[in-house]
Amino acid sequence: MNSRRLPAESLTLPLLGVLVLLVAWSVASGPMKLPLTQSLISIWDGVFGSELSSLQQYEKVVVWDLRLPRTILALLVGALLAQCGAVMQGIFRNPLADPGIIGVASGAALGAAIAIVVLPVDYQYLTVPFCSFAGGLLTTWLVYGLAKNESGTSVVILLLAGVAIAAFSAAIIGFLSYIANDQALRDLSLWQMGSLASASGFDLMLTGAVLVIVMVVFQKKANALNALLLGEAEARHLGIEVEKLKQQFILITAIGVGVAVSVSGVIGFVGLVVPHLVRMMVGPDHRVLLPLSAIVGGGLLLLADLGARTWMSPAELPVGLVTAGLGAPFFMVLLFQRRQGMM
Amino acid sequence: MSIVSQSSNVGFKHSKPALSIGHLDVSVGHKTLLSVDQLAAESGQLIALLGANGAGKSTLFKAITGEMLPDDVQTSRVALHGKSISQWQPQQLARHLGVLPQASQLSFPFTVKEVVGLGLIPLTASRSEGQRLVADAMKQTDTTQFADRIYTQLSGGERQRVHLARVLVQLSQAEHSPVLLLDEPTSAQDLGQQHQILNLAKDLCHQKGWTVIAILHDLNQAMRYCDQVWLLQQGRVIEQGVPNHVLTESIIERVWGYRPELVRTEGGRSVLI
Repeated sequence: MNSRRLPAESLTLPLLGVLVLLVAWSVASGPMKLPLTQSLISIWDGVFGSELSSLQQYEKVVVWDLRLPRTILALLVGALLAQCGAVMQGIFRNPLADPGIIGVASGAALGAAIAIVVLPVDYQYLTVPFCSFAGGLLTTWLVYGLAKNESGTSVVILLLAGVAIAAFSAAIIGFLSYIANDQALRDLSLWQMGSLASASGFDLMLTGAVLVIVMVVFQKKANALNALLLGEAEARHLGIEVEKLKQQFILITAIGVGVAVSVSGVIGFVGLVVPHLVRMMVGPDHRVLLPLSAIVGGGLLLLADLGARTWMSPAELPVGLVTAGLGAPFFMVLLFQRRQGMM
Repeated sequence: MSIVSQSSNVGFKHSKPALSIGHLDVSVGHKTLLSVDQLAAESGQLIALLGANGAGKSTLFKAITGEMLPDDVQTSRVALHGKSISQWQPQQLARHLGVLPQASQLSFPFTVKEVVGLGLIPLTASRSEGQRLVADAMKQTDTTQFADRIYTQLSGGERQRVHLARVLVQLSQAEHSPVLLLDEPTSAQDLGQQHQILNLAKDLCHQKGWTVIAILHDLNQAMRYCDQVWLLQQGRVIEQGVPNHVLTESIIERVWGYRPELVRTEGGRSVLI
């Protein structure tokens, strides 16, 4: 069977187009009905300091302070999770690796929970992302050490490690909520719901900056990551300094997942589903896979968030529920295919 | 080096051997896996690395590429063109020392062309030049006809030829004559492909001055194609030299525990029965 690949050049523009449409849809939709064009014009106003929009002041607040930050955060977090998922699948040499499934997100969540409950409230905007990153890093190292074998990583051990770490994190987070004071308890439960709704300006800047760093570093190392898929010895024969590379990748994915979890809670399966979809379209070459995964990841999470906001409007579902509801069956299909030896 | 210089690599005289190994000891715990006093491979030579299973052939390859743990081995004792392996810059080393693995772990759905293209990683080639190098290597290894197929759907022998093409690309811009290590390049191939690969190896050595060291199991192939034989037993090089001198009935019996019958052809070659 010959490969049916789409050239990446012909995909980028249409995908970006879809992304823009999703953004417009996201800004215009919500419990309060706002006209689409006027909403977009008010964004234009905000950026360029003009007064063209006919929206009322309170409507502008809805667009600027509620919907736009949420939309941007969805794009950033989705792109971040998709990139980290793609790279994890690369370093683990295992297409089933995902920050959520293998427990890295749980570890990051545990770190964030400790920061919320135990550390001083005043510095939480810094301690939560940092502890979340530290938790993610420790977990990645632990999982990688456990699952590593000669031919890559063992799926069974990856999944079991994920189960164990998720259980452990849940237990400690349960304990933390037991000892937490009222304020911390409220912060913790709000954060745990995994939502993009509470995006602060600092969150956006932090996530945006981390996404830029992650994308630049990954893109520079995309070829080395391709070589790593051949096996560590083969990559070394191709002149790649494998140990150094792996450490850099593990560090950067932990930063990416840690920041994503700290701003939006645990949002599963984006890192698994998106790289798979993109690989089906353009193949596994990371030089094209990574940037396209960022676009598709941002779009998919925005779409999931739109679903979460509008399905039972004015009530809202946590977006993590939506991604899990769609992603888990996808994961089962992948497992089934693997069992059939189709992958 | 040893014995009579009967090889056909006239025109590739170098002061330093392409690859030299001196006082190399590899041990795990108290067990010595490999103990080599002196070994050298000249440019332009096709060398068969022979020995029973567990004799240390693959360990020797790993020692040459510097893959063994630093505690177990002193890689500084292996030199490529007179310079210790550990002193080569990784990318430069990759352009001069290539390894064809026996099997690969690649499980992602790359096309064959993409896998061969991975050989470009240590090179500096423009897009069009890269495409040309990839196409050339695929032609040499008889893999052009499945350039667009998915690698993971190929047979073991086809996959190995794809990797051979990848390694040929990797070594295609070497400034000094490169060294290519082949780990059982013929074991997964059918008869025609076996001879095609060995002919290719011979041409690379005799026409382009490469040094190829191949782990082989078929002694007839070693006798027919190779300029030199390195014979390993229990981690030591017990014989080295031209195949006709090394591969005698008594030595074969000593190493493999089977006494063959050797027949001389009219061309003076030995054939094993």
